[in-house]
Amino acid sequence: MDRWKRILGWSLGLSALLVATIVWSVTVGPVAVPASVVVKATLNAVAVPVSVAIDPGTSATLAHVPWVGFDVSFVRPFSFSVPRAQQVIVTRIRLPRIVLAAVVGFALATAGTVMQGLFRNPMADPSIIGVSSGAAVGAVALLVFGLSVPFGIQGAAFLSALITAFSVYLIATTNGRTPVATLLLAGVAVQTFLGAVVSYMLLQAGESVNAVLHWLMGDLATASWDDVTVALIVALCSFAVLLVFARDLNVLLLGEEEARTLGINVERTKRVLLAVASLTTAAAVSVAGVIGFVGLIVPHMLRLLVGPDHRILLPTSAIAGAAFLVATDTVARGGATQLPVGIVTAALGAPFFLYLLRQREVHRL
Amino acid sequence: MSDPLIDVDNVSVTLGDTQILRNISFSVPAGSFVALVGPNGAGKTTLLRTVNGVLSPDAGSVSVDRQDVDSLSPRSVARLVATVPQDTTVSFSFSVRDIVAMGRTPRQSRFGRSDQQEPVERALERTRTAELADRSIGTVSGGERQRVLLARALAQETPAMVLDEPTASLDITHQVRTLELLRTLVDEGTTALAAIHDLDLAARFCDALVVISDGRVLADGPPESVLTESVLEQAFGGDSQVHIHENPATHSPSVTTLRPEDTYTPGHE
Repeated sequence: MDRWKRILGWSLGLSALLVATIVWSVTVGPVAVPASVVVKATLNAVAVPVSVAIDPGTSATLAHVPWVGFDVSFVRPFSFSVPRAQQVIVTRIRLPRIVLAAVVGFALATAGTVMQGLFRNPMADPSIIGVSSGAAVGAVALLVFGLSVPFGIQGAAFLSALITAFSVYLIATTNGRTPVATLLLAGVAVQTFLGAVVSYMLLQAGESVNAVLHWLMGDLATASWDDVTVALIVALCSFAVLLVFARDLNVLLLGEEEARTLGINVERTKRVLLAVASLTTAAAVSVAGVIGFVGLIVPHMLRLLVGPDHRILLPTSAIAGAAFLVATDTVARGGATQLPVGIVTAALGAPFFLYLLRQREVHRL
Repeated sequence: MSDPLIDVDNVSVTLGDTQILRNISFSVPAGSFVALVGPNGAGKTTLLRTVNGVLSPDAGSVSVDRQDVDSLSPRSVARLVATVPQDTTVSFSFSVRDIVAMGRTPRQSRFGRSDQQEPVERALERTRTAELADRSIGTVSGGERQRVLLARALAQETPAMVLDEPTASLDITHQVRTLELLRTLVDEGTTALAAIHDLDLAARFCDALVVISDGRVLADGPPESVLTESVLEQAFGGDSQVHIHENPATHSPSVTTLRPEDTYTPGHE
């Protein structure tokens, strides 16, 4: 099977690139950590769950997993000797942020690929139906008015993102049909409206204006392993569902009526793809803020490399998105002043994308 | 010729506030090639979109292979009727083989690991598109693209096929080649219903013609019995005068449209 070889080859190659980018990224920072120490410290932190106890608190060796409700005991198979300070820097300080960058990049590139295919529009991005603007309203309201809610700023952003996406979907739907052109325009209008709301709140922000700006430009500085866990679960589950629909997405590119005559249940497929892509975007935005451009350009870059077939485009875009955001976030935190990563993705991504556009024109068009 | 494979029974369709089709009935026998002819706006495309399940009739029913199309899932319809669209605009660069393989969509399970390559290769062979298989769909000519879409419909392995103006954008050579190919496929067992603009070509290649005008069936039958001056003048409007004669090369009926200033007296050729 030629196609399977291609999918596997590209995915493994890009995964190797992702791992190399992550290792390089951990070495970068105020304290220099050699790559060999990075690998050892990371392996030291690997914990394999071996048994689950229903009765909590019986032994000190058990780790409590709150969202499961019972205790799990782990075995750590590696114990390389690494200086204590460097072990802490690698696994407590740098890795959470870097792995979160990878997960967010993975999620945004996945959602961007699906939205571009679904809307048959090269300008479509993960937030085309208002997910990011919705998340921004929730997050900014919390920061500006100092409200306190369960699950904090991430929870508020996630909830308002999903409410916004669902509202846009409802506005654009009549008689069980959701034309993508209507959906796109409804998305633009709702984003404009929510943009006004966010701007108004910014005027009231006072001392919190700095935190709000950081959130709005996408910032991974506050990353924690909890953020990583939640975002990773959502991103991987969404990715699995979307991958199952990859072939349907190919057929949808022919147009909705043609897809229907080829046996696709068009409205149902659109609903599933929109819901899952919006969910994964909401998860990414709620832990990282609004990071533009990743979900727009990474799928285009990969389409130039591997072609339009979503069965190969979706996995390769996702992995490349992860590597791309890890690299740009390393630049964002590696300089003299810490920048929000959204600034770097746009500042580096846009010229690179323009270069690709020109190259393609020269060679292919 | 046996049972009707496609049976259109008293179908009415309204789009928006306009009634497009009014009580249309006709049938397509299994293994035959039937052309829908009629003026622009007569409802040919709407009728084809009702036969392939894209539109639901307000009244009446369409059945294919004795199954009511409107009550079937898209997947089930796509196993009965393959559609060759008038024009497809593929803005992404899929290869010809990828496009033809999409015809397998209704026959593959979502979790099925392997594609069935055999029907795809066979369809490429039968439509003489095998040599284009690895080209991008965006780089093939109009005539080639029509054959690729025909190959995709064949890969669907359906008993029936509907085609909307399969020759509309082609030059005269490719019009004839496409219809010849379609005729061959029908002779090998496919059943085809096609909207065809060119009356001479329809008469030459099809077993029967269904003339539609203003959403109604005006005439239905073999080309010689349907292509009469009175039917055509009724179908295409009172001003048009037509002359029908036998084409000396193909021996099928041929239609010439006359202008008022053309002097024409029957019997003086």
